[in-house]
Amino acid sequence: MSSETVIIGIDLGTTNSLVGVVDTGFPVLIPGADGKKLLPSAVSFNPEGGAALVGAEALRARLVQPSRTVVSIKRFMGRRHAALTSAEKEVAYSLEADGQGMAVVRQGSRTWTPPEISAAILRRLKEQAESYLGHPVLRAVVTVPAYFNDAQRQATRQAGEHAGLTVERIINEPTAAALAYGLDRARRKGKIAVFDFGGGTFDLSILELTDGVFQVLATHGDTRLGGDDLDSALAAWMADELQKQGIPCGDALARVRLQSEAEAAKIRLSKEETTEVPLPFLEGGRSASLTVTRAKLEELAAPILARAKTHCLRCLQDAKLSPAEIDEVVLVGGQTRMPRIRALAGEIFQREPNVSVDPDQAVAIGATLQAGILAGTLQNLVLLDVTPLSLGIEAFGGLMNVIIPRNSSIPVKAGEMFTNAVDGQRLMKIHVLQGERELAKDNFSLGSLELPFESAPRGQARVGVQFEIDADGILHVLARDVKSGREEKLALQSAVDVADETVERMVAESVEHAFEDMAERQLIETRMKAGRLLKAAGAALAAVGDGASAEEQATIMSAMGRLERAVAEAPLHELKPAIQDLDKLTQGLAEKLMEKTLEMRLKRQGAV
Amino acid sequence: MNAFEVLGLEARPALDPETVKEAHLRAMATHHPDAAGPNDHALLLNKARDLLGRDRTRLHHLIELTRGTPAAERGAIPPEIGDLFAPLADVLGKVRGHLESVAGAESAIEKAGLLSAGLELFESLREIQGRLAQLRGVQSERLRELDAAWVAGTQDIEGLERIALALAFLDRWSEQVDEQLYRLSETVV
Repeated sequence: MSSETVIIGIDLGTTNSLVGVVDTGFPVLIPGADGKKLLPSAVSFNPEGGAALVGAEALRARLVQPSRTVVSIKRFMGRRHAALTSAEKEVAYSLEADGQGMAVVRQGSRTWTPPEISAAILRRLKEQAESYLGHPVLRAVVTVPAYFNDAQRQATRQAGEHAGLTVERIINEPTAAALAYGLDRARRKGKIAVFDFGGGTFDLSILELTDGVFQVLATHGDTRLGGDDLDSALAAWMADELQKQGIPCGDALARVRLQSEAEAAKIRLSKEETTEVPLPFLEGGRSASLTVTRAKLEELAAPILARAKTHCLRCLQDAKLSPAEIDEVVLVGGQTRMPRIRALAGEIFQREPNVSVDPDQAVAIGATLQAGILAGTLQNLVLLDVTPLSLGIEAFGGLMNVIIPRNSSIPVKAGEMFTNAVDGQRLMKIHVLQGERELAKDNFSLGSLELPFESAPRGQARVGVQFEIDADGILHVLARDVKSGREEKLALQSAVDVADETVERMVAESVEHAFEDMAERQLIETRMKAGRLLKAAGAALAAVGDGASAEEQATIMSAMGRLERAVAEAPLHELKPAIQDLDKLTQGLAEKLMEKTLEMRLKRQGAV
Repeated sequence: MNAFEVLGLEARPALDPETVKEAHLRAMATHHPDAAGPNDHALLLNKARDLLGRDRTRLHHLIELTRGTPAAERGAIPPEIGDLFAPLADVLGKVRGHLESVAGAESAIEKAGLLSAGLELFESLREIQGRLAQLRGVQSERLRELDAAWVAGTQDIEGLERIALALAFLDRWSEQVDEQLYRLSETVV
């Protein structure tokens, strides 16, 4: 092999990154100078704003200079600054919008784009590979979460270019992981669910293996759901507890420390039932120590796991499979070491998950295998991937008109004919969208193009719009006026070229509406809520009957009386506690009602 | 494009989905861009698989290839499946309303109060799903008859067109029922 032919495989992760190469027929992950294969995805800058440290060194620097150390940059790849939620913007370094409205990181006098920061990580991985191979490396396969949209994939490709690497192929992480797990069983037939819970993203993919061909049946996930969210939830709980002890932890340094202590505690709780978190030298030089139990962590994790479960069920639905039809469940991502998450994967798919590959390494091994296939060093393996998000255009009335549905096998080409809505129209605007929502405005905008065509009476013009997704999952859009043969293409760099004012206006408008007559609306809405609650409580009391004790009934009825009076005469600030009271007092009744409903249903089914 | 030729399959009305899938995988193993370098053949293979994998789209393709004009895509609901339309629309409407109420319910007691109605709707939808499967079975039976006649030399294009139209309605209805069942299952389990 030489510099021209060798291709490395890279897992560019939110938390950690890895690099590998196929050596004498086997995938080998290459360690860094410190002997570790996992390179933390962190970059630390010097005070002048230059990139100084990468990996573990950067993480160490983060403890003393949080605002100059960038972690989880993957979350901002290809994202518009105006589209970030306030929770996402809660990082210790400063984010702003560049001229095109994309999120960038400010360090001293200059800004860095997420691809530039990712490039620092890629450059380090490239060096690791070069020192292992003894010659320069120019080509790579890079993985992305299945749920990355077009702009995020483009940003990943750019990061490779900044690092001096040609990105030969972008593959989906869960697909790569399946390759890693399928290596020894490539001849077998079967359906595999890949449960990928990483630092920043969650993906569930269902693949079918047939004689060396991997076919992705469906993939579903969330780019904003991951182990980091568990750390944040635990850190927020810890901050609350410290607050109760009279210790404030509002500054950036304290937040970073809590976050990193939370992460460490979370990892310990995968092995232990209880752990102590020592927090010496907090604000004002005070020290504290907190006890965290596994049960507490699981309680904090519950809403996050519920979201993951919904994605799994949706993916099964898309693949038109029941859990029983899945032959194997494989776990990917460091977060799957958490016992509760293993149990969740087991519950959903009704079988013990396979953990035979290190969950931190599976994606990198898969990327390396794919690199080996492309370089020609490995054969007899073919990966048939799907596009994870629907692609379409904005149709009349602001609706999303899907041209390529999600989970279509790629490469794929599809098109539709459109016509003019008014007489003498000379221009058609084609707004390209990605996502699953019905309304165009709720989906991710990839950009738009305008096609001039010959004037014609309404309904007479013919404009063909063609979408093609290549094997990297990247979209090419072509519009053509059938009569004149004139064509327009959506250029790739404009994939994120929606005017920023539009996004900001949309955000601003929604805020304005929210504040309009807020007091008045809140009172009306709260009264309606009270009405619904009273009706439900009354119906439940009647349905449960003797199932609730006389005492419970009396308590609830008096709370109902209080709420009724509050609805009639009290101001908002008295109405709310009355609602909360009744809500709290009827929790037990709600459980009894659910039990009774299920019981009656079973009885009736038995009788039929 | 002739999808049957692309996948090397005989052009006929009925094909086993497994046969189509295997032909697609076999061809992909040699023609995928990863194996053969950049080419458009993989695009064609995916398209052919999508066309032939389902009865309705396969019939449309076969009719257009044989007759030269596309099959009718719209028309009145065929009488043999028409009876299902009214109960289907009724239940789907109720499910939509129910899902809105569930989304608006904030307290535990409200959610508990909606459970009974949700379970009932779930059963109604399951029943409709069963009837849809049954109606699809009737069309498959008819398709097999016409397929046997086709192989024997009689090409009943109009008969195939009627099946395609019935399947178009059944496909659309099944999709709606499956989707609402999924959404409902999220609220009752």
